[in-house]
Amino acid sequence: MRYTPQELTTDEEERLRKLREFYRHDYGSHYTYHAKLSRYEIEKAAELAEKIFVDVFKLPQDYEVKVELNLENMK
Amino acid sequence: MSLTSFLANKDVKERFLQEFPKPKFDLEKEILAPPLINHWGLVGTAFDYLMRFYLKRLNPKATEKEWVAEIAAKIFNIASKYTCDGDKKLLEKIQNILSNAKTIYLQYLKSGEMNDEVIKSAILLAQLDPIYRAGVIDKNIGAIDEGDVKDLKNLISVVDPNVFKAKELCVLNPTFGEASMLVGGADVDLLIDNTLIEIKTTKYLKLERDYFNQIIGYYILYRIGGIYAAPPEHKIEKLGIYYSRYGVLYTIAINDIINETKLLSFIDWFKKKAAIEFKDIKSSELIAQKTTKILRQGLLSRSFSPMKKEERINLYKQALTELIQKGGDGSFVIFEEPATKKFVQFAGSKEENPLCDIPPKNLQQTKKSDFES
Repeated sequence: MRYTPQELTTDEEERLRKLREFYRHDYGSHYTYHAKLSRYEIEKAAELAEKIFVDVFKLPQDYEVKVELNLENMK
Repeated sequence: MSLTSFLANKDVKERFLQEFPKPKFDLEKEILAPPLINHWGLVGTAFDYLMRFYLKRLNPKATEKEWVAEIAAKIFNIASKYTCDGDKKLLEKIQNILSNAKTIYLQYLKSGEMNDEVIKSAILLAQLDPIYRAGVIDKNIGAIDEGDVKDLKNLISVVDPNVFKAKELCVLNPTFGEASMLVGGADVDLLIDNTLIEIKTTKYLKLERDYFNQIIGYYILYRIGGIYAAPPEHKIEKLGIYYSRYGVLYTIAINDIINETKLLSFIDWFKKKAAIEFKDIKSSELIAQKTTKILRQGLLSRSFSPMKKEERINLYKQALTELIQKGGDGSFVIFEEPATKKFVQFAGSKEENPLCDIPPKNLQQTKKSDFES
C-alpha cells in the first residue's frame, strides 16, 4: 500500500467524511479513512472509486486514471 | 467563471435587458491613443496595472489588493509541484517577473518616473493574469513587444489626473466580499470616492450593452457583499467607464438607472441564479479547479487522454477482480489521476475482502502559508 498521504484540502476531507461508506481509522500519530467492502461487491467498489474522484476530488467528468496493481505472495 | 461569464448566460442577459434600460450615450470625442498593434487583450490588462500604479502614486492612501498576477503565481506554484523540470524553469521565470515588478513599482512610487521599465513590468504582469482568470498559460510569458510599450506610453500620457484624484477614498481592484464568489470571482478596476469604475481599452467610444451589464453587475455585487476596504456605510452613487484610448470617464448616476423598489427582488433573483450557475463554489475549490486546468494543458511532459466513465469503471472492476482472485497477503491496487496525483487505493487478496484506503494529509497549514503574502 502507499503510505504517503496525499494532500487533501479541508473541503475534500469534509466531503470524504460525509460518504457513509467511510470511517476514520486512527493509528495514534496519524489516521486514515477506510471503507470495507465484501468481495462480492466489486461493482460497488468500482463505483466508490469513481465517486471519490468525481465527488470528493472534483475531477472533471473525463478524468484520466492509471492503474498500479501489486499482486504479492501469489500461490 | 466570472461575472462576465455569468452575464453571458442567456437568461441573465434577458433579465438585465428587461430590468435596466441602457441610458443614452452621447459622448463624442476624437481618439487620443489609437491602437498600434493587435495585442488588444494584453494591452488592456497591462494598462489596468499601469493605471493602478499611476493612481497609487496620485492617491498615496489608496488601498491595494494583492495583484492578480501574484495569485496566479501562487496557483502556478502549486501546479508546478506536480510537474517536470521545464515547468520549474517557468515557475522561476514567473517568480522573477513578480519580484522585479515589485521593485520597479516601489521605485516608481518614490520617483514618479513613468519610464519603459515600469511599462514593461505592467506587460509582464498582465501575461500572468490568464493563469488566474482562465487557468491558461500565455506562451509568450517574459517576451515584450516594443509596439505594446509605445501603445501603453500613449495611453498613460492621456490620463487626466484631475479626474482620478480622490477626495476621500480610492480602492484599487476592489472585490465584493463574499458576493464576489457568488459568480466565481469578481473584481472591478477602481473605486474612486463614490464611483465604481471599469476601464475599457477599446478604440470604440460606445456604451456596449455588455459594458453596461458589467457595471450594473458590479453594483449588484456591491449591494450584496459591500466593497473590500470601504467602510460599510460608504455609498456608491455613480458607475463609470473609463475609455482609456479617449482619456474620458463616462459616468452614470445610480438614481438614473436603478429603480430601488424593484431592486430587492432583482437581487434575490440574481443570488438564486448565481447559486445555480456556480453551485456555491468556494474560493479554495476555485483555485483547485484552476490548478487542475493548468496541469491538464500539456504543461506536463505527458499527454492527457480523456476517459469516459464506463471505461474507468471497467478498469476499476478488472483490477479489483484480479486483486481478490489472484492476490496474496499484502496485495493492493492504486488508481491514480496522473495530473493531480490524486489516488484511491484498495487492499485485498484471495483471503481478504477489499478495503478502500484514503490516507489524508490536511492541506490547511500548507494552504495558509501558500496564500498569505
